[in-house]
Parts: sequence; structure tokens; C-alpha cells
Amino acid sequence: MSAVPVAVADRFLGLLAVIALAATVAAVVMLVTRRVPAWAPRAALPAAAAIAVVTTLGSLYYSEVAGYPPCLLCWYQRIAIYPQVVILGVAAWRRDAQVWRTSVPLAAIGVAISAWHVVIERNPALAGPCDPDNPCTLVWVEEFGFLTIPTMALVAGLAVIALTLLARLGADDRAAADDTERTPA
Amino acid sequence: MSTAKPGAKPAAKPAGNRGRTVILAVVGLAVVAAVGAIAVLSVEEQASVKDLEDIAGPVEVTGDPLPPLGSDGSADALEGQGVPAPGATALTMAGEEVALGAGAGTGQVLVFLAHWCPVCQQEVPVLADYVAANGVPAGVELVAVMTGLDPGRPNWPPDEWLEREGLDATVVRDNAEGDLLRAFGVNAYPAWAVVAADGTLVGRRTGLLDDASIAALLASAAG
Repeated sequence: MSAVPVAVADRFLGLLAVIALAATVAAVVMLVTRRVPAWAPRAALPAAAAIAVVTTLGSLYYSEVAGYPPCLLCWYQRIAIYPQVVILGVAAWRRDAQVWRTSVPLAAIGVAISAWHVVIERNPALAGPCDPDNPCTLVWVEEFGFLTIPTMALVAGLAVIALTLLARLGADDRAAADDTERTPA
Repeated sequence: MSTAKPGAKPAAKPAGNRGRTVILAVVGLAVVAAVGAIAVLSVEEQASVKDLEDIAGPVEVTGDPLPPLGSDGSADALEGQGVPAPGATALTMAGEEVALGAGAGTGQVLVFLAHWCPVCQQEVPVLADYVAANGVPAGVELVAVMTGLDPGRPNWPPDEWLEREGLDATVVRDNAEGDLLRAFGVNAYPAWAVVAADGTLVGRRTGLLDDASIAALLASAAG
């Protein structure tokens, strides 16, 4: 039995996923409108790294503490998110906005798998009859009526993509500003 | 793009950057603490539920078990026609003994349901609505077998789930080891086995069935 009741952990991770979703929407709006406050790109990489860390710890909590065995699709999503802890952690430390070249493709693969996982969770018959051991359609967690484990993974992947692209946009803008300052009139 | 030379040490951070980093870290920790507090305060204690021993029942199986479903590559169609069905006895939640398969003396449609299986959760309302609207043919018994029992998985306990759904069928309990499951060669949920009154297997299949397929299965049990 875990020290923290699973229902509390579900709610905690669900609330963090809602915050990550809000951050993703905000980042997408900034990317589309190109109206970016100066602090946002600087905060983007640490936030993306934090999301990767929380997602990794959350998935380990569910499998190792709560006792929810990861299904096949869960494993594929883990492959896409666990390395981001190191990739984005180092990039946040070094302020390397070019990390999007590594991070975005990896996150995009995870997002595609998460999206399919969410689809079969919502329409389980698409995946055929239930595997008696550990079907991918099994819904272990459902917070606020929509946040299941793959939905949280989907949000995390989208957040990583949006935030690393936001960091890149900030770096590009700073480089353009530096070029303008250096160019003689 | 970074302007630092490869291998060069990053320049010392200006005091303003350090200040911003500290503010970011403090804000992040404050958000996590606030979310943790909300999570603790907003979750209510769950009422205690039934244990595995309350649901799993004693089961007795006779005859040879059927091979695993789909072993002839036809899991979507009826398979295993004409072979002798195994016989078994199991209990309802009320403790009444029910004969299953060979020895039941009546045509039976057995549907094996796992409470945590989302496809079973899709199937049960369809089946309940069909039976409520059409009933079952004379001489045929519809038996729902609660199997795959696991209190650690969602939608526990299964008897309350089936009652909620209003399924008008004889509901029996598999044991914790899943002996009924193995006797009928079930390896996916939901699974269906049709047994004729003379104890021969009319066929088995798995998956989500619509009204027409349910009607066909029930009719095939009537012979």
C-alpha cells in the first residue's frame, strides 16, 4: 500500500496535466500570433524539462507504486518521453534552444501513439476483444471526465513540442535583434 | 542560434538571470505545492467494496477443456462446432447451483465477461437492451459468467455492474483461478460459447456483437 492514496495521486497528476494543457494552449497562441512576452521563451525549456520529469515520475508511480501494469502502447510512449528528461534537462541548463531538432521528433512520435491510445480507449472495439492479461483499452484513471493516462501523455507530448518551439522562436528573435544591432546604418 | 564556440565554457550568468531563475523555481514549487494541497483536500474517501472471496465461487468442471479460442484462426466466426462441450457447475450470487454446458439439459449461450474489460462494458448494455426487447428463444438459457476477477482493476465488483446494467440473464461466478474460462478455452473478452441441449458445442466466438449477431447466437442454441 502506498503512502499517498492513489486517488490523491490521480488528482494531483490530473491537475498538473490541466496546467500543462493550459501552458500548451498559451504557447501555441504565442507561436501563431508571434506576440511573445520576453520571459516566455526563457521559461519554456525549464517548463518543458519539468513536464518531462513529472511525466516520467508519474508513469513510474503508476506502474511501480499503484500497480497498474503498462500495456504495449504505454511502453512505446515511455520510450518517447523518458529520454526527454535528459535531453530537455541538459538543454534547459545550457539554454540550448536548438534542442527542438531532437526533442520535437521524439515527442511527435509519442503524441501519435498517445493519440491512437486515446482513440481506442474511447472506442475499445476498434482494438478488438480484450486481451485477458493487459489490454491497452483498459482505463485505469479518469480525472475530470477526460484525463486518462494516455491523455496525460498526449498533453505532455504536445506541451514539450509547443514549449521547445517557443524557446526556438525566442532564440531566433534574439538572434535577429542582435543582427540588426550589429548591421551599420 | 548559439554563438558560443564548441567546447567553450558558458559565460558566467549575470545577476539578473540568476534572479529570474530563482523566481522561476519559486513559482514552480509554489504551483506544485498548491496543486498537491488541492489534490489532498478535494479527494473523498472511497467506500469499502467487496473482496475477491465475496465474488469468486466454487466451480466444478467435468470433461475435456476446449482448445484456446482462435487456435484455428477463426476467432471472428463460430468455431469448434460439433465437439462435446465441457460440463461445469457454478454458483449465482444467491448461492444457487447452475449446470453449464454438457449436462445442463437445455440450449445455452454463455457469455464470458470481465468487469474491467472496456469491450465487455460496451457489450453488456447492448445485450441487456436486446434481451429486454426480444427475450431469449424458448428452451434457451442466457448465462453471463463473471470471470477475470480482479478487485484491483476498474469497475469492481462485477455483480453490481451487471445489476446496474439490468442484464436479464443467469449470472454465475467463476473462481479466482478462472477454471470456467479455461474449460471453455476463452482467451479474450467478451467471449461467447453456444451449447446445444444434447451437450455438443454449437460454436464459440469473441468480440463485440450487435443485435443481429446476438439474435443469431441465441437462435443457434435453440437448434
